[in-house]
Amino acid sequence: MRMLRLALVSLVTLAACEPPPVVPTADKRQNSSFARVEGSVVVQSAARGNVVVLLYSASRPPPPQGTGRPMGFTFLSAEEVFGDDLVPAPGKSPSSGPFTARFSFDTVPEGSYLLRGFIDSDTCIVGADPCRPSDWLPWYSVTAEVNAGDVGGAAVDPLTLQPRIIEVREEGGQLVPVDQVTVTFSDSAHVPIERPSFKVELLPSDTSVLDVSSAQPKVVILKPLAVKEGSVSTAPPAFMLRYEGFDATGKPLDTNGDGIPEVWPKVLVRKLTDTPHSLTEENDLNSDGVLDAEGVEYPLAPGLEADGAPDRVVLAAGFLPETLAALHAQDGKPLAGTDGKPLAVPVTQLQLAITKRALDARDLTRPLPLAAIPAGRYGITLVSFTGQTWKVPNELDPDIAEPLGLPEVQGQEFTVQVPLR
Amino acid sequence: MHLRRLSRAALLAAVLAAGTASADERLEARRHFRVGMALISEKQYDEGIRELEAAFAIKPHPNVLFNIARAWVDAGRDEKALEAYRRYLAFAPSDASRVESAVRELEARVQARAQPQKRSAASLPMPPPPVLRGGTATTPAMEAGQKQAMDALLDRLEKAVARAESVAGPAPASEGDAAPSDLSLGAVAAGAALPAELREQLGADSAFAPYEERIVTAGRRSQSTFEAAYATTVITAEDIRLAGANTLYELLRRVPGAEVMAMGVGSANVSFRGFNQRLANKVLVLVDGRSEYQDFLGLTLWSALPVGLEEIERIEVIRGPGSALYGAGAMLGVVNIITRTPGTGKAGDLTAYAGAGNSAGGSFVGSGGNERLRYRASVGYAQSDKWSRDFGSDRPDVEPQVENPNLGLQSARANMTATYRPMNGLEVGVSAGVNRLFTEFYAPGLLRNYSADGAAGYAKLDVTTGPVKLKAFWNHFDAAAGPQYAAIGARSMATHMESNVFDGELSFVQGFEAAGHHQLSLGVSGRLKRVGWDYLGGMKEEQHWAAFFEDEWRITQTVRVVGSLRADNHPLLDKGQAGIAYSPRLSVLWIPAEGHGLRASAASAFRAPTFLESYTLLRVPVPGVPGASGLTSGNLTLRPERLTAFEIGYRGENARLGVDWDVTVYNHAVKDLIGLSPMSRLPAEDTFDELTQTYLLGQSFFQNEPSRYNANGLELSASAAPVDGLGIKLSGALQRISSNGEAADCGPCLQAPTAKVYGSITYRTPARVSFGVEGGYTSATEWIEREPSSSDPTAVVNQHNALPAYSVFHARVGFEPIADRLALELRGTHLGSPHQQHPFGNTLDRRVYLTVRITP
Repeated sequence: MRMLRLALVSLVTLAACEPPPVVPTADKRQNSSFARVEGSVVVQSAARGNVVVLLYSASRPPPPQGTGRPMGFTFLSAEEVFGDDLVPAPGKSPSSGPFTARFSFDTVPEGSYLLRGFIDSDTCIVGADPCRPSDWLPWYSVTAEVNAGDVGGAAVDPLTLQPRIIEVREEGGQLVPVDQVTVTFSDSAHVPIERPSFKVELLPSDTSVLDVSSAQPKVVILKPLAVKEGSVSTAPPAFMLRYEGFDATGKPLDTNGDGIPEVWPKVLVRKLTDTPHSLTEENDLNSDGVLDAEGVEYPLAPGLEADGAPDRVVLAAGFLPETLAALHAQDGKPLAGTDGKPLAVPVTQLQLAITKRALDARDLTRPLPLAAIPAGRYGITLVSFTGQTWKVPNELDPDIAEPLGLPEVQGQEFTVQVPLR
Repeated sequence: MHLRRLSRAALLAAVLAAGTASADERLEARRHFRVGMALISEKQYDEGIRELEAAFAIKPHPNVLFNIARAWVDAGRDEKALEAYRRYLAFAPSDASRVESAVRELEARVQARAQPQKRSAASLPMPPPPVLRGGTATTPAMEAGQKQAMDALLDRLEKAVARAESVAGPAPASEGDAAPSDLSLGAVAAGAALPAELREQLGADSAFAPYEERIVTAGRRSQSTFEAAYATTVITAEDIRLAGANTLYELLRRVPGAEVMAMGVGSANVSFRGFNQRLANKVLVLVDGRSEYQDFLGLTLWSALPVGLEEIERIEVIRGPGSALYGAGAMLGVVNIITRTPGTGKAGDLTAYAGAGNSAGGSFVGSGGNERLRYRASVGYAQSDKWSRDFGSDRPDVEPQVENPNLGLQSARANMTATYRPMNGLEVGVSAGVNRLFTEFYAPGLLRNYSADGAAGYAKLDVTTGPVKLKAFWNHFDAAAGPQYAAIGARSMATHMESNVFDGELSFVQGFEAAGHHQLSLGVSGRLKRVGWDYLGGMKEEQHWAAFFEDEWRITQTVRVVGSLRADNHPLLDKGQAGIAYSPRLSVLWIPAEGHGLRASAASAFRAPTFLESYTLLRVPVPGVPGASGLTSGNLTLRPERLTAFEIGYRGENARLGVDWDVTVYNHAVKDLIGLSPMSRLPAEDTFDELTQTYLLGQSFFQNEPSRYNANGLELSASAAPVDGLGIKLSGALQRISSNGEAADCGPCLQAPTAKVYGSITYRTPARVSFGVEGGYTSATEWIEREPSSSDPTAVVNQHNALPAYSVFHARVGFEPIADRLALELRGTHLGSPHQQHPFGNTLDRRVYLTVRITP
């Protein structure tokens, strides 16, 4: 009887063929909520090349608007985008399209995003001589930039033509994927200039050491650097110098109120980690552009209260008046275009004064002075008005270039040294 | 209320009323046998013979009948002795002619006694006993010459028995019965007049000391587990039948030192003495001596085996290094699954089951043949849902890549084995099988839950003639594989894999005398592997060669030395060039008394790099960065993983109590473990991958770890059959793994459970009801696994995942409404708390199955 009962119970159990439960394992992805962002690229351009679409956090836009770095990117080959029209017929100009192709970003967490992109122009496809192939490589600072001739793109609001904020939000307990996003590229967004690649020259008898006992700022000279070797191709004939803007009275803007007008290219002298030849910035060990949750904090100038968070240490720096003089006409007025906007002026060198003032630039709009200049290594970054950047030191440092398959370029290992006191 | 209690008590009493049914037949029969022999030596013949008859009833063995006959002679009851001898002769023993001669003389004496006359002093009553020592009773009437002849014969026979226990001649691993031996008194001439059913019942015991546990895996020949130079464990068909566990890998949990890590219903990783991992690759699994090691991945796909549990005669396990015998892959152990001998068992056996988790299946096993040709054929089907799913179907980011995301295992298999004996001394075995299956498996590194949908197949040929044996097989695996879940929009990782392995081995086993008895094994083998797999960048091929020898030298009756050496030629072992890996082993055995054996061994073993580790060229998508991939690369210059082991063990028994036990302590030194390197940047010119049209963020390649590991452990096991029907098994293992500290995170140290315990109780009643309960405990571990960083998916970090201690419980109730015709089983698995056995594995939960077995 008991056996019969057991058998019956078991048969009832058997009848209940429930599907297996969903039980996430320790895999972090299974315990996180993600969605996806999908859409199309629409290209209206005679340029040819691979198309790269980049995903940014809306709160951290890329240069020149911000300092954000892409959270992800996707790659569409030139063949995929331009199809049969990739190579123009002999004697004919390349078609401007429009050309479309699908793109998709998987594993996108909840948030607000911007989509940017560019055509990594390959002039060899259209038979240019000499030609320049697609050269964007995302993993090295010296190659992860657009070049002159590339074509920019973005997801924009069709009505306002402002960058579109893409919202990945939860509905009904689940993230909702975003589809039908269009990233447009047009010839009007041609990148006009090369990256501001530079080398550092010291004044005669000067060294890379910042003498903190001296009242005088340290002056270094930045000159355009041409490198066309291997995967690196940059040859800016000059730096394009210009004021950021004018106020209502026609004076150059001084956004942060430090008495120095804001100019392009912007310059940043940033503290690096102490490891020799490391390119990693202090307190950003994973190099994602976001300060680490834990790190080094330095005392602020007297009267300021520490925020208890790791610092983004920079040295206050600016161009010497001799450099800025190029932005003024002989009558002393700032140069402006016909539209009244600041005029960009090519200059073959930038004289940079590095002061003996260290700041915590955690909040870039409100840097806080530190009590003393932290000892260590400092690198120099230039950001042009196009958002293109160049850093020294970089991967062309002769001590690290070879295993990365990059050319060794003397001087690209330069750092400003602040000795221990 | 009282009535109910009373009825329960009555039921319990009825159930517990022990009869002749057994839970551990071998151990119970051995207990009866030893008790009986002791009584007989004390001249308590009736009581002693009753015990021997009880032993025979539990597990028929011809030697028992011989001893019964002898006891009756000693008791002076010639008629009874004659009857026992005749029963013995029904087994067609190899010494039949001598026994028949003795029987004739005994018959004459009985007749003479019927016609009263003086007993002839010349009449020899029977051949001397083969098992009892020191009990050579001579009749008072025996003349001096006859006594001398008797002593000489006795001496010769005792030597023969001793030799028979070790010199079994060719003992194919695939056979349940022993090969004939001219030297073994009381042996059964295999394949002679003995009915097949009886031959099956006799099983491996037939040629040797009654009810001694024997093993063929530890020396390429049949030998007593007391004489094996290895730490061994045997799981019998009876164990399998009575177990609550219903998978092959779960059955191995009872092996001391075994680490069984079930990831899904069809996916498990098994290791011994630590070093378990996803894609466990340090244990060699054989089916009837044929490797089931998937050379391209280095794992055993348990669900791809072409045999069902109902076809298995026994599972022999070598714990610890086995490379001296089996070469690469047998680094931490060998599992040899031995199927039923063709032509034995019921002509047909039909099994069907259904259970929770959409589980259903069945099999039919047929067996038959004649004196020359015997066969066994089977077909089977199994399906089961996963225990749990990693992702639901309604996620906006991830979607299943398989048609039925609930399915964990589906398998349809067929298997055939035949043996043909065209003449005495020659046997040809042919077998083949195919398994059309869908199964899960868990890939390493950043990869997770995969499935394979395809077919596994094999064909095998065995030719045995005298001391020479030829074995050749072909293993085939062909499947579409890929992740079971993938991010929507991400690049597909679906792949196709095809593997063909051709293996041939020629071996020679011979005994000879030189300062003691030697048992020599020699052999050469070759293997051709051809693997076509997208992940390897196309077709790859390797040829391997090996030569091996082993000599067991019996210095004295109690001391033996076993030396082995195997040389494996591998095409990549010497910095990418062909090189040789040597696997020496030296063991000393001391057998101070029957039923007790001490062993001490020093051995080395290795694992050769798999195709995955040598040739992989795999681009793994980076979550959230569709334009990027991480490159996982093989390495052609890998050194083999190396193990040096020292081991001391003691195996003993108290047959009269029905108890046996084994204690082993070991020290393993492991170096050159193969693992994935951290991700490192590629040269800029290699960064763009044309194949996937993605940028390679870096490369992680297989490398030999610089760390050396030291593993120390203790293994205990005991089996008891104290009363008829009751079987108890206990085992446990303690281990500690440390490293020399060169690595920041010692994965093998944290991932190896410190303690493992297993216990089972089975009980069979004469009322054809049987019960079994088993449980295992595994202590907490911590698994270091790679994952993309949550803050930056292009960065790969090592995550520490704690895995709490877990226990597994299985239970079984069986009932035979019609004896030998119809059986019902109710089986519950994983009856404890839901748990995982790896941080990325399924959550295992209770499942109940009902099985019906019909023997037409």
